[in-house]
Amino acid sequence: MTTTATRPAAAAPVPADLRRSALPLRRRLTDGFSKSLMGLALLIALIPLGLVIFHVASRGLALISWEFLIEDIPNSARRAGGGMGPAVAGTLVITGAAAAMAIPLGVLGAIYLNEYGKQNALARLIRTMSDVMTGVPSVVMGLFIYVSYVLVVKEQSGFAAALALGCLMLPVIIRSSEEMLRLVPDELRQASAALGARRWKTTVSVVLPAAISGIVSGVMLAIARAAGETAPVVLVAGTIFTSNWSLDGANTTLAAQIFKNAGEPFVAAQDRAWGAALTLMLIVLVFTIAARLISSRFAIKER
Amino acid sequence: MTAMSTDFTLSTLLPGAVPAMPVASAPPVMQLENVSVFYGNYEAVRGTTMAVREHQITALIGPSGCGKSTVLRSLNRMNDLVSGARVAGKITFHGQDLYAPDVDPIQVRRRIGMVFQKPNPFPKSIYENVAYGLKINGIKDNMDDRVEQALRGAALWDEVKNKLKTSGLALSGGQQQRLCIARAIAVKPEVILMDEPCSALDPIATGKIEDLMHDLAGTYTIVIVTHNMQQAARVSHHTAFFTAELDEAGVRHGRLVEFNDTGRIFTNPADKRTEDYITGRFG
Amino acid sequence: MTVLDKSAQLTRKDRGRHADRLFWALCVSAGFAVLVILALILITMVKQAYPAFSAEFFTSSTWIPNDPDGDGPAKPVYGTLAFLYGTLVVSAIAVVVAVPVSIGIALFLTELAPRRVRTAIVTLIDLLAAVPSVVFGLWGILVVAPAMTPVYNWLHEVLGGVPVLGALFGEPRSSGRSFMTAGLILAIMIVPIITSIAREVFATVPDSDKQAAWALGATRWEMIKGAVLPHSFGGVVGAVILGLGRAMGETIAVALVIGSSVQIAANLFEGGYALPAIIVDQWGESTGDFTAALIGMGVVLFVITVVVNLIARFVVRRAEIRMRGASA
Repeated sequence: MTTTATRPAAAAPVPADLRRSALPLRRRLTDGFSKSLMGLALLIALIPLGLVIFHVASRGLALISWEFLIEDIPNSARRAGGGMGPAVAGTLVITGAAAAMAIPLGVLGAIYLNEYGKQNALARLIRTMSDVMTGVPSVVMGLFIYVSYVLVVKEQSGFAAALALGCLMLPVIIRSSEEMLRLVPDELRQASAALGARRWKTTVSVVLPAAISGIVSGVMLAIARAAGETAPVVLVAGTIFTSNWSLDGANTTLAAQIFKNAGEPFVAAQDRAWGAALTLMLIVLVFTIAARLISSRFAIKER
Repeated sequence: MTAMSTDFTLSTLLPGAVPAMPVASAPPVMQLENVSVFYGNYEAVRGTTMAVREHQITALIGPSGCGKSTVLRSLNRMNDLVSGARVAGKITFHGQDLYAPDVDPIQVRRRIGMVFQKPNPFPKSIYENVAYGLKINGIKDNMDDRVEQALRGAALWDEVKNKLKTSGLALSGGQQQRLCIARAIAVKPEVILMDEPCSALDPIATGKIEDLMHDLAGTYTIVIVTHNMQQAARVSHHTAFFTAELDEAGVRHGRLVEFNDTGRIFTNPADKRTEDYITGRFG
Repeated sequence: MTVLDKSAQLTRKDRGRHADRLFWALCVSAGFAVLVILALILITMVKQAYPAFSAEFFTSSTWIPNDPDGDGPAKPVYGTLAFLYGTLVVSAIAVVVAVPVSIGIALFLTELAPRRVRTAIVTLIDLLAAVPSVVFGLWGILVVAPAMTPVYNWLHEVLGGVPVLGALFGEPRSSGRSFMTAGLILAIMIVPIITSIAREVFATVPDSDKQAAWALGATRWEMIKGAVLPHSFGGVVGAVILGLGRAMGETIAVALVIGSSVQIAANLFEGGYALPAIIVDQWGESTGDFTAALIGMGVVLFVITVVVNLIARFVVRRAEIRMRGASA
């Protein structure tokens, strides 16, 4: 047969060498090299994470105590002692108020996108614009609230800061909630509709409960993010040295205090910044872990 | 090929194999001895013993879920890519154990190529698709000739010679599948595994691929999985019939029922289950 | 409707219908809030900043915000070029450093890591994203900047004599607060964003393409190069642009470590300033036109980031559509 002559050489009954070492060196090296680069990339990202946590923990732990969390901030940065009480209070009040404003608005907006608007032009516009709004720098949001609210009422306040943080949270909550609503199987909606439930009733009593764990987890992450936002607070909240548990009047947050004290040349101020950083990290961590637990515990199993 | 045929019987080659029927045939390239494939703790296929003969077409047939594709994918270690997949028993290639610890799956796949159910050209030009395998194997000389040869080998050259720079995705389904065959043969493997290569194609495109398989058998050894019995009857020299059965514990496993010359399987099957399946009395 | 009298209970005239309408209206207005806020941002800020927009605002790099000699003849100058320059330089450093790292991690996660390792690493990367930027700033100014000074000195000694590089790697400042430090801190902060989008992009590469590469005897890297990367190019570009947008808008960390000097310097180890940084830094002492100029920079920043974001979304969406076309 003529084909015999053109058979590939490997077809000879000699066992082909299948060992890794028979692969050309260049290919083996490229493969190994690329894999180690990927591992190296991971290391490059994780080392700073480890260092940040280490420094914040070690420098912050020396400072942090119950007194640190409740005492007033010394009104001279040079002075040692004192605490971050007003900043802790301000962080809780301002972030809480921001969440109270952004959550209902965000969830309702998500319901519009997923239950009503779907793929129509308005819904698509809102979706794109929420994505764009997610990218708006926090300092711009601060300026916006300054111009449109602080200049009008002529007072810097915790409420103004809450407005700014609320604006930052809104698009995040809309998009994450929409994502969760989308995972709710259509059969549930149809089952409810078949029982004669109205659309809003179906949404409130069937769809929302089915998606609630995912929504809550997204909200938690948004809160964690907002609690660490600094620029808007610096721009619109003013500053105080004693605790203010109301939304009226000037206020401050942990993030703003870290910023202010980090730039000071005095060791006492820098120490307070580390203490505040540890406190803030713990708050953020609690919300982040809670979000993870909630989403993994009550996740919708399948689409 | 006739020059190579000897009077081997399956039972002399593989002790313990199913019925001792004479298989007029070429020497085996690959042998499976009591091969079982596991996914985690689940035994998807148990106890397969058969041989793949040089320059012949071996078809694996059987109902869905009988493990024929699983067996096919164990032949070039594609199963390695599924986490938890494991092979027990022995698969040899020219006598060399494919699953020996020092065997590199990459070398195996270089010599035992594969064509998939759904045509899957890369999102690159026709030329680049064929050249890809050559390039990664460090072959740089006579690239144009090699690409042309592979495309001719896959009976695609005349249709694409004027548009080698266009995307492989712009071809029709049948052409895409032949492009995938060209891509596989460009690196000159010994064995080509085909996993239901025509199931996504219309009858005309299917006919072209079947013709092509006949031509390719002169140069390559082919193993094809199909659930189209007519196709197996038309193209293959040997046929292995698999089925899925419940074991004592009620767990489904795929297993090889009968392996023989295709003619024998379709005209005079030894096993009742084979007969039921090919005469459509299955299930 | 009168014909349907007998089936009166099937008509829609009950209270529930109003509730449905009301609920719908509530949801639509919530959705509208996003559009309203974005529009208000643009309108109110432009209105407030209008007095500051002049030719020199965009063309001058001289920044003399307070009347230098009281009521004398010299006037304040609000040129923002130095800040724009700083923003660009710092973001460019961040992107150059973060992109290879992020793509490496994303490939590691999608193509290399076993499932269990993957979950652990994703958690760690999420944690990196959760660290507030002000904490990075604090760490940057008190730990990184001083620690980097010797490194900068060494780089300057090695590369200072090389023609082009020499200009970039000039004499370092002793504090270490510089474009470079700000860029590095930013890089850490945008790695999680780029990584997560790149991961999504890599995950959409059809399995059949990867199998095809494997079946030809490709090594893992050859499979990635042949099947994964060509499919993902558009999406990864989108991810990078998105990271760039985030880097440009990042305020606090940059404000702390960039060195706060109003200058356009090629030397990456020199101090500089960035748009968002100058706003928070000088906000407290500004009045009148000075405030308007700061708000004006906010407008510029807003426009840049919106445009960058829209481009990124556009690129990602086009890549997605192409992918869908390819796998169909």
